This record gives sequence, C-alpha cells and structure tokens, in this order.
Amino acid sequence: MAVNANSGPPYENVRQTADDDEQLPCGRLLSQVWENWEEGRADPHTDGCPYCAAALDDLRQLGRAVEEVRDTGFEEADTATLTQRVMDVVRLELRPGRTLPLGEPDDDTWIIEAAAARTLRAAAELLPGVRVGSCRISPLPASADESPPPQRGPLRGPVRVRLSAVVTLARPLQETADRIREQVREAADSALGMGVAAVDVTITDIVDDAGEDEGATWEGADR
Amino acid sequence: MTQQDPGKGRTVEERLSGVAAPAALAVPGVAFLRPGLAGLLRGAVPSAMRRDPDGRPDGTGVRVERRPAADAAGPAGGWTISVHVVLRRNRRAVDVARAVRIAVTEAVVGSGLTDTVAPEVAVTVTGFV
Repeated sequence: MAVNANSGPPYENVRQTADDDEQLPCGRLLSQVWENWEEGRADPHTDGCPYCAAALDDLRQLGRAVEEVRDTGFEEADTATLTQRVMDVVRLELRPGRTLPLGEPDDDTWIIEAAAARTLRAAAELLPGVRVGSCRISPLPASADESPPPQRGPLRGPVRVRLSAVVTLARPLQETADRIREQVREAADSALGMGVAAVDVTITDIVDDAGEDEGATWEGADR
Repeated sequence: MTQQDPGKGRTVEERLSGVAAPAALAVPGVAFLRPGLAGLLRGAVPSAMRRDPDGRPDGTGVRVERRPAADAAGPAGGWTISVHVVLRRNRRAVDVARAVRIAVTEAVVGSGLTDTVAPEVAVTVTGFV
C-alpha cells in the first residue's frame, strides 16, 4: 500500500487516532489547547473560556508532577514534548484498553496493551530509518492439550506482537525486519518482562533518506 | 457490599485502600497510582469519561473487593485488591509490579484488617512516565 507523496511526511498520519483526543465541554480538543499554549499560538476562544483555562492550569500542574518523577537519567531519544508525554499518560488512564500478562503464568501482574506497545514501538524506532505505525499485542490462544489456567481471567501465556513499519532501504528489507524483531524481543524482555512468542513485522512503505515514497509493500512473518 | 466499622467513619474497603495505596507508592519505580494524572484534571475531563478496563467508573488506583462466599477460585470471603500503577522507566516493569504485589500484600496482612488472611493482589501497569 503506497502512501501518496503529496500527503505530507509519509509517517505523519499513522500515529494518533481521532477518537483518542479528549474534548472539553466547550468543544475544543484538550490536546489542541495544550499544544497551542506550548507553542505560543494565541487563541481568542481560550483566553475567555473557563474550561480551557482549567485545562491549561492542569497542564502546568501535570507538567510539574511529571517532571518530579521522571527519571532524567534514562537514555531514550526523548523527542516527545512535555505535552505529548503528559497526554500519553492521561490518554492511557482514561481509555486503558486491553490488559496483557506480565511475567510468569502464575504471576498476577498485568500491563495495558497501549503501554507495552509504546515501549516496543520506541525500541524498534531506535533503529535508523524505522518508523513504526501500528503495534498490536495479543495473547495467543491456549493449545488444546494444555491444562486449564490456574486462575480466572485472561490467558497468561506469551503474546504475539504485530507491528507495521515504514523503513528506508539502508539495509535489505529482510535484515531490517529481523532487526526490528530483535529490538522488540529485547525490549519486551529487558524493559517489560513480557513473554513474546511471535513478532510479525509488516513493512508498509519504503522511503529514501529524504523521506520520499518508494512505493512498495513487503510482509514477513516470524517463523 | 461494604462493612461499616462501628468505631470509625470509614468502611473496611476504604481502610484497606488506605493501607494498600501508600505501600504501592513506596515501591521504587512506581510513579503514580492511577488515575495519578487524570485525577488531577479537575474540570477539563468529565468524570463520566473515566472508566477502568472493566468499564466501571474509575475511583482511585486501588480497588478493593470482597470475594463472594461461594467463589470456587479462592478462599471464601477473602479480599481481592487491584492496583493500577504508572511506572518510571528505570526498572523492568515486571520486577516493579511484583514488588508492588508483595508490598501491598504485606501491608494488608500487617494491618490486621483482613484477620491476617492474605488478600489476592493483582497489579496492572497502566503506563510509563
């Protein structure tokens, strides 16, 4: 599936979904109010609106709270603005989504899919030229000959990761896909402690170093 | 179903929460209990929008429930405590989550509120800062 080169940077639209955005009672999107403020964009509506004013007040408070606990020693390519970081956490809190098992089958520890996916996505994007689109994680169904799980609730086996990415041709595609897979497995193990049974990588677009579309699709499944 | 302790103003559930939450927060690697940040958004987000993974209205990062007496999966009448945490990125998530389980279990058992019966404690990582 080729991305039209005229629609802007190839991977700009793959991240946020519209229903992720919280809307204030006045109709403004919360994230938009915050981003406008952070970038110094004036908005006459915001100046006179109590909902927007409360939202900005909260952003400042949240920003302080996040800064206090954030571990500044962490080596991560930290390109996200404070607003994005705060919005990420808030969004996950408001719409948690599916929980996945963390640890061994007899642990009672879990992680929300979106939180795990962000970690795996960030790990894959440490590779040069790789931009991850979707990253879905799902439990694998138990095989027929396994005894019933020891506790109620969702299955606790290793998971399957399905990831799509836009890459450059700096390396052969198979090699890039393999490296993405390695990054994902490594991050799942060392950052999360989540068992991964399979990683499927779909390369949805190829761009050159200047960001122009090469127009090809390639799929590779983990054997 | 809540039990009112005649001597105090709070229910047993509230007191258990009051024991579990600080124990979880004290674990190295824990940044917030959910809704640590969303809870600070007073007016910006209608509280009706906050739902936990089971679709129930979100209260604090600790949910305390009494298991029904006839529940086959665990001791009759025991307590189940669910903790939702936002973590820092300086430690492996599962290690912190396990430490939270242990800390909460010990704090609850030590409080005597559950007659020293260990609660079932589930920990969910809801994000990282």
